[in-house]
Amino acid sequence: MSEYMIEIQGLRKTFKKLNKKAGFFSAFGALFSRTSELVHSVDGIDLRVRKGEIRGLIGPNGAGKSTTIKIMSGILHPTEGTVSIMGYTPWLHREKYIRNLGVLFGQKSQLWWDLPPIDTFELNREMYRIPTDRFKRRLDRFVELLQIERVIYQPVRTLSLGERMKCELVCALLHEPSLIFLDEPTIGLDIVSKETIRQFIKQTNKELQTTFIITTHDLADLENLCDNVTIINKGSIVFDDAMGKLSTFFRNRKIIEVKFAEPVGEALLDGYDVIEFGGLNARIEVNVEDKDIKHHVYDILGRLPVVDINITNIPIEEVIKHIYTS
Amino acid sequence: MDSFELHRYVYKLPVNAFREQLRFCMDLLSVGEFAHKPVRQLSLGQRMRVEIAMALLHEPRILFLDEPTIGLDVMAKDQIRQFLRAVNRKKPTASPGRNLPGRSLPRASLPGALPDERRYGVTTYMMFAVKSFTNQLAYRSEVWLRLLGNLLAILIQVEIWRAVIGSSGQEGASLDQMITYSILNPLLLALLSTNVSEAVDSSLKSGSIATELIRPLSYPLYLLAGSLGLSLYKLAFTVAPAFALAGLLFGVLPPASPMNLLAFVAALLIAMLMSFLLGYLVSLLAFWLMSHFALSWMLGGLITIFSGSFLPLWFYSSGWAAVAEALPFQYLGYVPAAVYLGTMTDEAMWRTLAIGLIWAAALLLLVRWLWSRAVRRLIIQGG
Amino acid sequence: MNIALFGKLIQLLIKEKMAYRGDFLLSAFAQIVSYGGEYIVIWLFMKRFPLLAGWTWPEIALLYSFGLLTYAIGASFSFVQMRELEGQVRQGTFDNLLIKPINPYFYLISRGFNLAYVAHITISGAVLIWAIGQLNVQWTLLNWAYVLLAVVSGAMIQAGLLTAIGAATFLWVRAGFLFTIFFRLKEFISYPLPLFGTFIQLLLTIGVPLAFVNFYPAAFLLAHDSAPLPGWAMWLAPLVGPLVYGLGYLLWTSGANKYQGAGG
Repeated sequence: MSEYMIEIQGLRKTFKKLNKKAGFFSAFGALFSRTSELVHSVDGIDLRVRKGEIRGLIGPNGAGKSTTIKIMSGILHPTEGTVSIMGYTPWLHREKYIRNLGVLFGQKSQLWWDLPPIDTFELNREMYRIPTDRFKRRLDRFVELLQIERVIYQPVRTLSLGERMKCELVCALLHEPSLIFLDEPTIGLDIVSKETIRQFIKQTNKELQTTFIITTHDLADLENLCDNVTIINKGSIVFDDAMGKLSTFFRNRKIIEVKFAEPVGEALLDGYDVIEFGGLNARIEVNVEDKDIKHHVYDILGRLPVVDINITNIPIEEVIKHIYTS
Repeated sequence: MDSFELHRYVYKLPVNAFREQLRFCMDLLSVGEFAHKPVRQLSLGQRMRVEIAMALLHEPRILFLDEPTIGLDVMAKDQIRQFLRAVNRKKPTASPGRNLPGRSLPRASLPGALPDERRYGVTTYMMFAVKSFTNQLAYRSEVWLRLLGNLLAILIQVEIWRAVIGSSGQEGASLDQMITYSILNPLLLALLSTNVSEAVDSSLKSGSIATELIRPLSYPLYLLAGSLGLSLYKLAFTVAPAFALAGLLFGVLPPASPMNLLAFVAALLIAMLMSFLLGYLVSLLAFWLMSHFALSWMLGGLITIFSGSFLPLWFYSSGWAAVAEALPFQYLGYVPAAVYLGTMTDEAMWRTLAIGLIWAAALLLLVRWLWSRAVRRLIIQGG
Repeated sequence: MNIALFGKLIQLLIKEKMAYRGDFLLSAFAQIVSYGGEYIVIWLFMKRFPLLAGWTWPEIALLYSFGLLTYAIGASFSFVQMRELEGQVRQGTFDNLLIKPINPYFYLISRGFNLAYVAHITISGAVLIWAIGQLNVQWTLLNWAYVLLAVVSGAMIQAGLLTAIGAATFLWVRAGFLFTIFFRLKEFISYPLPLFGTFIQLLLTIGVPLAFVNFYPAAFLLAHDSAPLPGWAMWLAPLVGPLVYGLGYLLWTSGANKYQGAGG
């Protein structure tokens, strides 16, 4: 048995897009001839995910991310390439494969709106043929971790977004899949709910060794949850490595934020790459390749009336923007 | 772009200032390339950008933003943040945070007060009617379908009357008259069907009525204008062609006299107004009784029985005919057709039309009263 | 999909409807009023014109009720489900069906099983039974069996046609106009077919076999002219149902497969 839960090689998906023409008369012309163009939504992707990993999968909208997820879910067939997940080829063995897969689409609900979540859970129990005692044990554990004892008995439409999302998660995990795709699991949630859900994911990952694939635009999710990150842009993988490597992508660059005791003239920061400047504070970027950080810091502390100083790596958001645009 | 132009009308913005602000917003948000595409074809990020542009077109002093960057990737988020900062720098606009509901307030309004509707004249509403008409052109590929549907409905009625009347005619009407009746009524039904009921119901239920109320115009008049535009479109593209085709296929009688033609037009206008008001009434009742589906089906049932759309009132047994004549539904089918055919005496005809106007007036008052109560309740309860 | 799961789904559907009990009852009442209106208009018509193509009022009532009853049964398994397919395909929520370990077609029609049609069934069933009482037909066991078969077959024809229209959604997405055509054609079968001339008769027999829903069974039962079908075709008529339904199902599954290839 491979140590890899997911093995994808040479994945390609091409769509034929019909060109619609505007205008009254060209609508008739379209009846006779339509030009089409090929859209290479996924253009050669190799991906490997180990069992028990929490993998972040990100990319700009339209980058081929959702297409890849759909292929991995068995919803779509690829144009080319091999996909082996838990030993199955998703779209060929859909019904058997799905039994061992969990999915959560952050913006599409699986819960019945007018009924309490427990009813949807019971339905799932029937659908996935989960033995009753196992079902009860799992449910109790999840309810305990997410603190939703009373929530699950209230109609879904009365729940807050945070409570609903927790129940959606339970729904996706009740049948104890080995692999689960989470698409935007914390979208629209407040900070406390986000944290609870992240803890829950990490805990479940530890207890059940469930493999998680998370797609998100929330970079805090990435930083807090994921061991590894794969970035897809324009149909291919542009980054595929550990989370730590992403944080230190720009090893040579650091951000220094300073606050001054009294207003300082901007000219005093000449020679530095100033990102932001207000009279009493500044944010500059320094290159530590030729002169190390000590040099820069001493210089600033020496010349300027600094009352507070903060040194950080280039934020993940910048890194990702850089990766998206290169 | 169309919504932007409408916005200028609604907020009565001077052309030059508007154009300048429009260019500013469009440049900074780079929406120029897709401002002319239908909104449904835009991506989420693009849509958010045009929404923000529109909210700022009338240069409000305060802008409320509710989750403006949700679901967007880092590039799009960044662009919107930069835009908001640029706008803020250009003209200090307070933006109280990220999690408050609503849209931007017009310059001169106070929180809690409704904008003054009376400033808006006939031309603005006429523009809405025209807008509604041109909107329909996007669905012109369905014209043939509507036409076919109308002709099939006419065919069914014509064949039934041919079978039971034959060439000798019956007391009440000749075959020719019944054929014309069968042509007029399905077309009337097609012309009179509005989506007003659904529109009001869904905006009351979803609370999006709040956004409509913030705009400085009268929502009911706005709907009426839209409905007229739709009817005009249907008249031009499906009803008139169907009438001509059906006339060729089955033979149609001309109006009984020029005066009858005039009366027919009057009856038609009464019918359109009544249809609009009845639809509106149903959605208002549904607002309190919470059952739009049920109420509109019941209205449908009443119209089926009492509009005389299939069976003219002169064929009804006396008890039923008396009830039908006492109700307003006859104006939606029987009356216009009977006026056209001249089956009533002139005196009876004008009397019927006068009563029709009274019905329309009564409905109008009822709708206005219920509407103001509904709006008040919404504002008090907060949706 | 098995009986236990279907049962559970129905249980939840009922529970869902009961959450809005008043609404459900009101809506049922409204449907009865609405179809009551249709019956009343036809009744008023037949009071004035006692024969329509040789059919009397109880016979017309039977014909119409057959049509409505079979529609209600067939549509509860198909109409709303197929109509919502366009929206689901457009917004991608159809994918939710494909990630369940169940045949997506059966899940779709079960999940969307429409309890609201119970009102249709109530009124058409009641009028049907009344009409049967009024007619002078020999009500042998064989005839009852025929009525039952005809109802099932009629429901299957309409479910099959509606499913086929749903299949078209996978191909064209904006296939809603086909529903309009379906309903327009269905209006013809409320009346005896010979009223409408050869073209329509052939269209509704060979093209879109709606005439088999109610006209042919009623014509055979009531010993009316069943042109263009010959009299001996009486027991073959109910076979059209399973045939059309099977075809509809096949079209739908092949459409869903195409969706998975094309990505929606």
